[in-house]
Amino acid sequence: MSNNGSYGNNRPSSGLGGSDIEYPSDPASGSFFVLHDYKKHEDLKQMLDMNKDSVKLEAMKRIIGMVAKGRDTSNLFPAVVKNVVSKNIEVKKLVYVYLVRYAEEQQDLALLSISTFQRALKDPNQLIRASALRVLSSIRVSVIVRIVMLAIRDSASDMSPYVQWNLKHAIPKLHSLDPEQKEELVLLIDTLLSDRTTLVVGSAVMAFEEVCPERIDLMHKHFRKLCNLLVDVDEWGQLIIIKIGLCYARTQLADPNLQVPPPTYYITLGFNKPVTFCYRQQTLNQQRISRALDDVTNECCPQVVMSVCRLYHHVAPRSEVGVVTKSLIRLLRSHREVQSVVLNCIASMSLSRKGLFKPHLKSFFVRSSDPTHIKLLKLEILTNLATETSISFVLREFQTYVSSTDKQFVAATIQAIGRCAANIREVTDTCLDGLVAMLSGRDEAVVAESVVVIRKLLQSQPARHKDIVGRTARLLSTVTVPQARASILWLIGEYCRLVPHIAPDVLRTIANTFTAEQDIVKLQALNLAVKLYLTNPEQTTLLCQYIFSLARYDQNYDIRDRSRFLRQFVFPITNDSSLAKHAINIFLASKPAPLLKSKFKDRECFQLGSLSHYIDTRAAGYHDLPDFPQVAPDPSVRDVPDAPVAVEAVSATQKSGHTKHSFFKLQY
Amino acid sequence: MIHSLFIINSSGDVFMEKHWKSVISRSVCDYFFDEQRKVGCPEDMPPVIATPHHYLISIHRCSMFFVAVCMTEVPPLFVIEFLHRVVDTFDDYFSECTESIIKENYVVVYELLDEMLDNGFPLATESNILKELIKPPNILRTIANTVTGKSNVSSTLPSGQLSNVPWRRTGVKYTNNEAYFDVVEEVDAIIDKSGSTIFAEIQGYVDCCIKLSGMPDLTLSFMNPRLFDDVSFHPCVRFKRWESERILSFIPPDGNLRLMSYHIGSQSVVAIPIYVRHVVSLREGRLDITVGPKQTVGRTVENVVLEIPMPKCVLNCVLTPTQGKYSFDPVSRILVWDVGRIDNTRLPTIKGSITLQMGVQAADSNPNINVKFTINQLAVSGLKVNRLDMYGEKYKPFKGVKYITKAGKFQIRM
Repeated sequence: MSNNGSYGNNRPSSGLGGSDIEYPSDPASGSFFVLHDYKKHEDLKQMLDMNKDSVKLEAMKRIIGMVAKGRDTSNLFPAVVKNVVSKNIEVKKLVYVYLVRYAEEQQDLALLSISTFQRALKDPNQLIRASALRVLSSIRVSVIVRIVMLAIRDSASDMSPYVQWNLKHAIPKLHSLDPEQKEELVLLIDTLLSDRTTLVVGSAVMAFEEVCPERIDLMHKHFRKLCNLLVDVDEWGQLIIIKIGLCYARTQLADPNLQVPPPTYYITLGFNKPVTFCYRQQTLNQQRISRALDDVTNECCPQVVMSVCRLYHHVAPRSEVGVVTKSLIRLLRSHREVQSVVLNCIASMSLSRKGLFKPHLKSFFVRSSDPTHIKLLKLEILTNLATETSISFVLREFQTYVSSTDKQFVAATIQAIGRCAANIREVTDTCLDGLVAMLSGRDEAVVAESVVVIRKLLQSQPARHKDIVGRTARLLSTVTVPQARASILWLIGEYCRLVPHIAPDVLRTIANTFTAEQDIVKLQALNLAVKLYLTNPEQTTLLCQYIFSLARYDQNYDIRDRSRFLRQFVFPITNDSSLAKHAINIFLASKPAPLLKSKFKDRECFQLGSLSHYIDTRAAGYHDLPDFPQVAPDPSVRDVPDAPVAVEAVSATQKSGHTKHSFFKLQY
Repeated sequence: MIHSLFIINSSGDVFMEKHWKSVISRSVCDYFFDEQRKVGCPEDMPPVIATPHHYLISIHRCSMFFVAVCMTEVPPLFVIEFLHRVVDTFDDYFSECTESIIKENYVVVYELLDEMLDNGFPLATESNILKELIKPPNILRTIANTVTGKSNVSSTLPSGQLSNVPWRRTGVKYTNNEAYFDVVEEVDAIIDKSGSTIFAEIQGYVDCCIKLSGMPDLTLSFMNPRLFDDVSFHPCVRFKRWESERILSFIPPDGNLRLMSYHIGSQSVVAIPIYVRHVVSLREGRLDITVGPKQTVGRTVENVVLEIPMPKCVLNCVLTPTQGKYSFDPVSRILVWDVGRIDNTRLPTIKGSITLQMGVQAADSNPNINVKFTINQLAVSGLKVNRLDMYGEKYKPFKGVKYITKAGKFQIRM
């Protein structure tokens, strides 16, 4: 697909397009000359060998263009790698980009560039040192592990915080390249964590999370400091710190919901500036953590809001979780994709924490302009939130939705009505009436879905709804959707004793059209025949026989199988068949009513907002949240006598006159 | 985390790919295309697709799909947020984000992507910092670079990145010092058939354009800050000051920013500034709609546009408006009536007939109306800025506040 002409505009209009050098013809169109492959990119090689920086730059730009389009330019590697020594920073940068892409495939040649990086690591310019470290660690060649290790160690003691900041990615990269270096890296991370600069600590936690998240013991000393730093690190760092905080709380603190007298920690928060955990020394040994999760603005990043929400959901005392609601609702105005993820989480939360979202019920009302998957999620949430008081409201909304043009949505709405009816006793009758009214509608899909839902509802209390069973029977002549027809037949069969006059007639109708029916309907027709034969043999024996002989020669083997199997119950070969004796018990046993429950019920085992939670299967690399310990481990491990001083020092040097911090100081 | 990024255009070509770790073949996008074939329109595309070995997380913006490939568990919102950030950055750099713009500037795009993500984790996403690392292209700079041989890539570290106010550059200088504030309120509402309000709330923003020299420290106060239900701020705002005094105190970044966004609704009553009277019957093929203002405190309602997505069975509409223009798109079946401003003395109406496809049953339901409007010089919630003070600098800035009310997701059910 990449070879079509739409990529003809390979020569960039920006850059040096206007300079006076004659370039050879565009190499990107070289795909037409597959035969001359050995000559491919020859011109680019020449350009790279020239002395002029501007020509080299032009060549590199074209190469990057081809890389971006996913074309193979690996044969240019020797020509490109030479230019890693170029003084021109833009050429250098593009060479770096190229190197990172192809070094893995051309390991031997990539080694040629290493000495240049080693020199660049000593460069006086911190930007160059940092980018050299970045690229060196990105070259996934196992021979250079020692060199990268050295570079990382040097950079860890670098004076520039920017270089140290870049370490956050170098360490995990080395770890994934050679896991045996872990011991040494962990030591390094530990020293970095003790650093006093926000930038460095922010990057150290990232490396920690990637390399050794299980070494939670390293965190004891730094935990309080991290909590205080939370406001100052960038949003991506915040995410990591919150994640570590979650793990830490689950392993090192007792479950706040289980403790009868005041929990050992509680949470006081205004939900408005980045998340902060604060600690207070309450009594000598008892530690009270108050967590100030503040301002997770949506400008900040929806994911931060989501992480805080996850943290609250999994570790906060029940009474405190409410603070996240408003922020979650706020995210609903964001991009469609964000909405989808957030609604997914709300749908899950609304099952266990109904009260949280009840005041915001209206925010989940569906607009016709929403995409279908958003509509379905909103519907799910509305159903979960509906209570006796709000049900009339919700049902009125549902009524509007039913007349929508979006068929999938209409079907889901009807199911939602069914679930409401099943969950809330007061409205069961109203809902049933509504659904039955829908049966006379003209829209097939609506009718079909209604029948299915009615069937599920009737099963829980059939005796009261004799007339409804009768009405559904009459529909058989008009409804054409197989699922609905099958449901009707099953319903008649199951409650044939309630409608003794109608049932045989239904069987007659279906016998007439049997050959033209869908398989699913045929199976139910067989069922109905058996059930009627068992309850009312005088009227239906012949009909039953007729249907069975039709089924016997059906094209579908499932149906042939089924008829052969059922035949043993009604027309046994031998007279003393024990099967036939139990036929009534087998077919007309009372069946438990189906439970109409939320799809989100079984998602609760996953962490809120995680990929696994969203796709509802365990994603690769997903770790279960550890359970709270039975007894909280000794809190004194977190005591660091000088920690608050350190934080004050940082904030004093960093943000003079920034009032945000004075608040946190007050907390000690 | 994020292994690779593929950008796919509307015709289904992967026209750019970028790998941050080992290369992943673009054939992984086939799963994406499969899914795309299943759903009709791009809006219905699920944001996350699970394939046997990869997870594809995509966003659809500017009629392109940005597909990120992940291998392991990662918060989906994190990836989505990052992708949106990427598009925002492109928007910011090239002033629009289209396929041809990206293709034209693939070098800058590639450098940007390289700077924004390292090893699959975000590195520098702050647009101010990026702009100093990689200069945005413009004609003047292109010419200058050609002549002087300079490059777009900075060779020094951006000044702000390590400072304590990372969002503001040092040494900003203007000859005219100005600070403009726009209070924008969007009314979200669902109005039902009978004209009663089912749901209404206000989403407000305070956007500003601040061109002040040096390091100004601003405070902004409101006449009635009690109105707010829920507020969120730009990171530069000192939150504690807001909590204790209800004052916005901040050192602003240079240029445009969204200082705060707020939400008014659920508890308070929201004034609906417009009403629509409608008689639409698809079965009889009749349409009659009148629009009028209400509760607008004497301001005129402007830029009124009614948008009606008709069901598939509608072939054409023949209508006569008393004011403005209407159009019916036979492909998307959207009827748009561009009303313009509403004159209180003569209310705009549109009347006429609808042609239906022969032999097709008209749907039971009527379509919905999406309404757009703006009202200048009015914040519908009644919010007012009290005063703006500046500390830390000696000069006297020029200050201005503007109020606008707009329709957000304003929907009328018929």
